[in-house]
Amino acid sequence: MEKENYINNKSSLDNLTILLDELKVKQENEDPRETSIAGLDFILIRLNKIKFLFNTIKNSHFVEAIDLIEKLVKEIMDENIGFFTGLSYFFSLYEMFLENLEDYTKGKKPNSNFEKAVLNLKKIIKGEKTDTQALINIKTPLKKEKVIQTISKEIIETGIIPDFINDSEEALTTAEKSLLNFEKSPIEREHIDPIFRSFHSIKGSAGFLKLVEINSLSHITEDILSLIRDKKIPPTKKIFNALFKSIDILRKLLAQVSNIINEIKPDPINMQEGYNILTTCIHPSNDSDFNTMQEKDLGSKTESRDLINKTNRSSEMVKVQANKLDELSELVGEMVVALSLLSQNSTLLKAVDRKVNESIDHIGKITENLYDKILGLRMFPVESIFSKLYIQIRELSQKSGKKINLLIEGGDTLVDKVIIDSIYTPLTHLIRNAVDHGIEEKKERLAAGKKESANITLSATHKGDSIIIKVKDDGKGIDPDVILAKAIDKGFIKKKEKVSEKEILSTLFKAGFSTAKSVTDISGRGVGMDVVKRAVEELRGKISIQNFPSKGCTFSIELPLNTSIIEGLVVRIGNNRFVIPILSVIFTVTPKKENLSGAYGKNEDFFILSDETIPIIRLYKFYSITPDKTDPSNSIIIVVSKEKKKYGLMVDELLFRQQVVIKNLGDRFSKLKGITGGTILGNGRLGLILEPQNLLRSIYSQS
Amino acid sequence: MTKQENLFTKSGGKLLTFMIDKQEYGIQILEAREVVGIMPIDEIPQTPNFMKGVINLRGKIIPVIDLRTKFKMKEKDHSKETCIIVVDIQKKLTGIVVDLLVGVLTIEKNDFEGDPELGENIHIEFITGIAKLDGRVVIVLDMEHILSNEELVLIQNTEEKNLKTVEEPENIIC
Repeated sequence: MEKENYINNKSSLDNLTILLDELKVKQENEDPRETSIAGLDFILIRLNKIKFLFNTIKNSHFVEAIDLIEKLVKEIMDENIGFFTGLSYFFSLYEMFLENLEDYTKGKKPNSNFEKAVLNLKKIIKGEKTDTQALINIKTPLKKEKVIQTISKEIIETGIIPDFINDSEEALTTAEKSLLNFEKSPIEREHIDPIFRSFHSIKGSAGFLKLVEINSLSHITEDILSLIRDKKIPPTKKIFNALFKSIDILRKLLAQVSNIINEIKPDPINMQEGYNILTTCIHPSNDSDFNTMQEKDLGSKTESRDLINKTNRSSEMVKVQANKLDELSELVGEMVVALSLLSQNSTLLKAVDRKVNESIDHIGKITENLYDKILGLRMFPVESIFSKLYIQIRELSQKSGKKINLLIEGGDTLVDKVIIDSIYTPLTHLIRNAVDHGIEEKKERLAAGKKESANITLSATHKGDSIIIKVKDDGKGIDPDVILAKAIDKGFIKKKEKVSEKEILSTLFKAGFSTAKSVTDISGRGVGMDVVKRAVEELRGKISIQNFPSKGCTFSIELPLNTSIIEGLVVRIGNNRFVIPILSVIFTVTPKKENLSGAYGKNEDFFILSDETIPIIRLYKFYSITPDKTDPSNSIIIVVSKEKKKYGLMVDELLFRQQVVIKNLGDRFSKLKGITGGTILGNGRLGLILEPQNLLRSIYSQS
Repeated sequence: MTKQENLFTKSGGKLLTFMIDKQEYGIQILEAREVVGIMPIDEIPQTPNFMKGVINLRGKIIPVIDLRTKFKMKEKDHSKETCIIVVDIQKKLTGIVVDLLVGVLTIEKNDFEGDPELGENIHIEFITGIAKLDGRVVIVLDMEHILSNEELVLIQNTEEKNLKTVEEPENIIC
């Protein structure tokens, strides 16, 4: 009978169709990311009208559903649930609703999935008591040592989880920034609100998605923040530690969720310690803790103001997927190269008149401009890594008991995203080494006339086409004798060899080197510096040390700003073409026969030039290529250097010099030794990019 | 077997067929991306012999394998009918060199026989099954399986052999 009423009430039916169509168009055309608050209003008004229509037809089932969906939209508007998470949820429910509506008009009952979803939504919106409140009251701690979360299949199928992860990670980043600022100046209570809102939103979203661990952890953290906000507990050092810990664990939980939906086996997380710390914070702490808060043992003096300004700045932003930017910059890079080939083409230049030349120039200028701007899109201020490192230093300071000040210079220096992603780990290693080896204990520092707090300075500056990042400490510097002893001990240097200080220091970067007396978890495993050097080399950069014994030490990393186009020397061996980055080439030469020499009766292993012995590396042997020439005095030797030693790479012919765009060959070719990528040369053929450092390392297989 | 199911569900029973020597082979249309005429292949050192090299397809570098070598048949010179079929397996593109492209063939479930008994010529794990239609016999290949072995880009022994021939001058005093 209901159905009859529905069909008979024709005008209602028409109105309903119109409204549903409007909503459907909105749902199909809009990327949830582009829906604004105004969009939510639009949705809310129409839902209300639909509800009214269903009410007049007296279909209570759908009325309830719409009512709940309406409440969901309101929750999004009140920021009780993450924006994208909520929208994602809304759209998935809405689709189900539409499906069922069609079935209903055909005379079928709404299916069980829809019923379940409606029931679920009802429970959540009515705010049924979650487990967390029970948790807080329990005195015996719950077992949280091997946490592996479970996510229901239905929730995964809705496809909301990736949006949730994005939302939550952003919220955590915001919370962390504000927390850092709040810790530096607890007087500025305006920092509490953003932190509170972040956890509130994560709590809400996790609740909707039935992610119990994330929900309960953020709930507890939210409660702590609430108590701080209402001045029921003071923000003590213990509490700050607890809050940072919560952010840390939530990040781990989010990573686990990501693994689960990508069908990667998740590692269990040990939340026990963090959980205990957080639950004990709920109770008002003693006044003695409040006093310790006054001591400023960690202070970043220069950049705190800048950090605050940056979090408040709201500018029109769009979210773009990183790989789209990569594709774009690759394309534009190709354009630059193609254009440069065109403008260098001598046949063309002779054949065309001045006007055409001008046009080509013009296109060239526009392309270069375009290229710069696109590269600029991928550039971010280094400040983002620097502030992450701040957290590391804080931890290190606590663990080692040494007081450390972090100073930042040039935080707003812009750097390519690739660099930002890869430089964090090496910088961490350098800082850890500084704390562990460089910075002295309190007694020593005071005895040397230094202040108790050590200074670590992170700086970033542009120099021509490169960026220079420095890690400077005012510790005791590196003692060359200690290093020398260790180097001899490990066999890197022979006992009676005469070595310069530079050579001694360079052994620091060899794998397996470590002078820490014990392996702490900070450093001492002997893998740090080698990893740093490789990471820097992978970015085609250089690392150097300036050592001032008893005063301190500075590590300088120089990186080229441009990661995708390089100037290369194209050479030929047999049928293969290789591209050697110009920056790696010292010079090229064809040695004279009389300068060739060798050991054990052979005479073509190395050659002498200006009193230097340069070994000859026969690339054709290494790569199993049939070459044109096997006699070095008849071929071209490209001289490169590695750690102050020169090496000669033997090739058949020098072809030309060209700017090339580095193309990743893909992981199927990742095992090629010495080859770090490919490129399409001017004649359409492939050139393999040969990185001398990589090659030499493979040849001499220094592990 | 989901491979066989895919053939009839996702590919709609359509095969892209080609000749190698006198035998007709086919791959699911779902896996075939495009076909190009034979073009210059740039060799890459330190790769197994069935890996012929790479081609430049509109700016994309795509590795190319020779099925004849992979199936241990004799190599043949390229003619003007030789083509490269670009196959898409889980978003990874690979080219396969074939003698002659035949076309698209639609088969029904009863034309197809999975798990056939074959002679020693071809490795059984590379074959999804055999299709028989109008007197034609088409061997349906499992490209995913053929290409997954290709992951071993470098033969370990080639490296070791080469390392021994290069002398280490570490002892020379500079």
